[in-house]
Amino acid sequence: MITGKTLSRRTLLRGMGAAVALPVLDCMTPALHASTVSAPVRMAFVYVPNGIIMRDWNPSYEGALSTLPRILKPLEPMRDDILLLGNLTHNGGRALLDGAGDHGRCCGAYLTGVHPKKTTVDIKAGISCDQIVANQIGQQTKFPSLELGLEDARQAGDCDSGYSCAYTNNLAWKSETQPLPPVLDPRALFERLFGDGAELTPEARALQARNRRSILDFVSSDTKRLETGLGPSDRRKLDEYLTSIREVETRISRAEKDNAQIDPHMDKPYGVPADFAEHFAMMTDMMTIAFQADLTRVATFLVTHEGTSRSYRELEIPDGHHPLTHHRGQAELIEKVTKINAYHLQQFAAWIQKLKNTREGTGSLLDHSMIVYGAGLSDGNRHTHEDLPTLIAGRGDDGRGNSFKTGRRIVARKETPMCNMFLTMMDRMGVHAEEFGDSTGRLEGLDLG
Amino acid sequence: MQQGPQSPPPLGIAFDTGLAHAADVLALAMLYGLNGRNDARLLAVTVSGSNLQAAAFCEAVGRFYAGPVSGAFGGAARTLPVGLAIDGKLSSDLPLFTAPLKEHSYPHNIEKMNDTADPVAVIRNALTTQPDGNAVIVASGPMNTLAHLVALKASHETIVSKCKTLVLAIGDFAPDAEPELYARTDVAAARRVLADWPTPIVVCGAEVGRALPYPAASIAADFAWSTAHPVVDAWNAENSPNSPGTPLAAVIFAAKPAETYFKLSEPGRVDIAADGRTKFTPSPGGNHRHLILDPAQKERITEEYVKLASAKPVPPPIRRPRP
Repeated sequence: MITGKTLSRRTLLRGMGAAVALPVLDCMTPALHASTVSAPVRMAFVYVPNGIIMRDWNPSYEGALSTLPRILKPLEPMRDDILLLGNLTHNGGRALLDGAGDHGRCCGAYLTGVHPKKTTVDIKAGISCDQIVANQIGQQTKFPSLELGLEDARQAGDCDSGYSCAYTNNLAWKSETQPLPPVLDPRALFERLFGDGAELTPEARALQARNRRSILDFVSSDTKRLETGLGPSDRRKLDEYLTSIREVETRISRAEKDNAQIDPHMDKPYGVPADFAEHFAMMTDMMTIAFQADLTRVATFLVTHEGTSRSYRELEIPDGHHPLTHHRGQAELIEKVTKINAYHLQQFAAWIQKLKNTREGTGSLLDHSMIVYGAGLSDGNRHTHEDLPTLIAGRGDDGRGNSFKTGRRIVARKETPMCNMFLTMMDRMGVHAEEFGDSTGRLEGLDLG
Repeated sequence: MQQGPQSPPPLGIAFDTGLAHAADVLALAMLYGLNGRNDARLLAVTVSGSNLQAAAFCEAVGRFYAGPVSGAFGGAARTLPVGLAIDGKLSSDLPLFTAPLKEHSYPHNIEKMNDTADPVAVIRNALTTQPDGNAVIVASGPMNTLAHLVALKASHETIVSKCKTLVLAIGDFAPDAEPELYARTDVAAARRVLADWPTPIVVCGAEVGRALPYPAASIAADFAWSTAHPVVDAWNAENSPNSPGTPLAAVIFAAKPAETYFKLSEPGRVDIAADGRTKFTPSPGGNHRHLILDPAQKERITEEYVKLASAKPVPPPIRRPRP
């Protein structure tokens, strides 16, 4: 409900079955205090499987970022906004007497920092760092956290040498025995963000889609009332924001329509587009909106799962991703994996560019975010767990002078636990833990000054 | 066909050294000797002083013993990452590790701090690779790294389950002994480790080391199989042929406790005074013991020193890629 001239940060545009949160508008921050209002910091983890071709990931230098290696090239226009980190290690992903199963272990360990139990039944890992943050600050937003993905989210069965699929198919763990499965279907995510929370069957959703009006139509009365009280700048911001919602909604409807024409019995959620890049963009666009409207401050995004044999025909690569990564030094296979790695980065870079283009306060949404992109293996051929490919996009600027000094490559000391970085990020989120996982301290050298 | 029970893996040993004495280098050589004979597995090497050259020297020794390796995975043999403390109080360049690097250019990959490893993580991670009760930590140096490790709550379970014993080559239990270097360098760290370490601790004092120096004649006679040897260079650079063999005794005890090379004191408690003097007080149920020299074993021990420290490198098995 809209009340008064100074708008509450929690104002919603309401309509039948719809509740659309708003981005930060000037009228929410009284002019005299605008410079002192703190922006919330957001934290997200984007995970890619099967390692990376590290020779095309690691620059040959440290310090200020200049020319980026081939896989990271798509991020070059945003290189001043990223921190490229070297030598971070997940000991929990290593065998440690448990034999084969690096894919299952490395994903189960990634955000939990523990050595997952080798089992297909009584799974056990640890609470993940995103959930520690969500538990502490999640009550301030509509959703404590969002868990997203693009691929198969089976939770049972053996996905790697005796490791449950729960390890390969989840990033976030609510407790040591309770993973949080990612949402794969853009429609389901959209309805979660803007709807009344009711779950629809694919058939019901299809019926609704045929008769569907935009969710923005349901909130049009509130929107008009709000617009009349806004200045030109806020009106433009609101228009851009609502347009972005409408665009996502239109694309979801299009995907549903396409899917219905292709095969009504297809083996994936009804609203999932056939095109990988489009699916990636839809999910990340909704993460942008969720961050912008402060619906959540914590997200995880499992791009595809460890051991995936997904092919990339759009890159003319019919082979499965995982088999390719066991290239045994064959140049042709390495080239294909490099192309897949670069393709993933291309999608990620497009998202980061959107976050950078989204203004918030005196900066951008990216300035107030920490978006980690990484993998639980470095060399997918040999299954190595040290020098994991890791970057943070965004400064994590909390508006109180705390900010990462980005635009650099920082190489930590060997065996530095990845959990040290998580502790540093948790600090930035206002969640202070003494230890996490196998941490040995904070990751030094990220901040300004 | 039924298989018999698997033989237990060799004992894993993590070595934390101040590298202030050539005896520390000989102890490291002994550990590679034990590793080559499969009598023990060297799990980790960490330097508790904060000197990059010391870490570089340790890596050079590791490479020397790893030797060249070829094979499907190609390239150099995998050497252990060397952990280096950043808050160590022994930070001076010492000829024993600078001279060999300068004179013989032993290859190593440590040029800057981030070529070294976080020593706490190195030791803790090394322990996690071992079956329960199959690891020993030998520390011959200031205790700063172990003090950090024991302060990590999350590591407590790992230490308790994996580490059988902590063997410390510090202190001096002779009557009227002067404060020993490693004990007096970081008294607070040593006190913390002695107070909080959750497994049994055995301390090898300098009085044992003084009675068991490495035989100087062996340096010229038993290392001649290599035209250049980093251990020999370290020994010659230090030029202190009668220095105590405390870390060597500690390694022998750690690797072969069943061989009765030494007697053990009754249980009790080791205390360190503010000036670094060490004192042992017997007490039933105490978690500490110290080594007592058995003069009858001196010759055997010295032979073991020589056999292990002067052992030739054993090339690691060539790993073939999995099908």
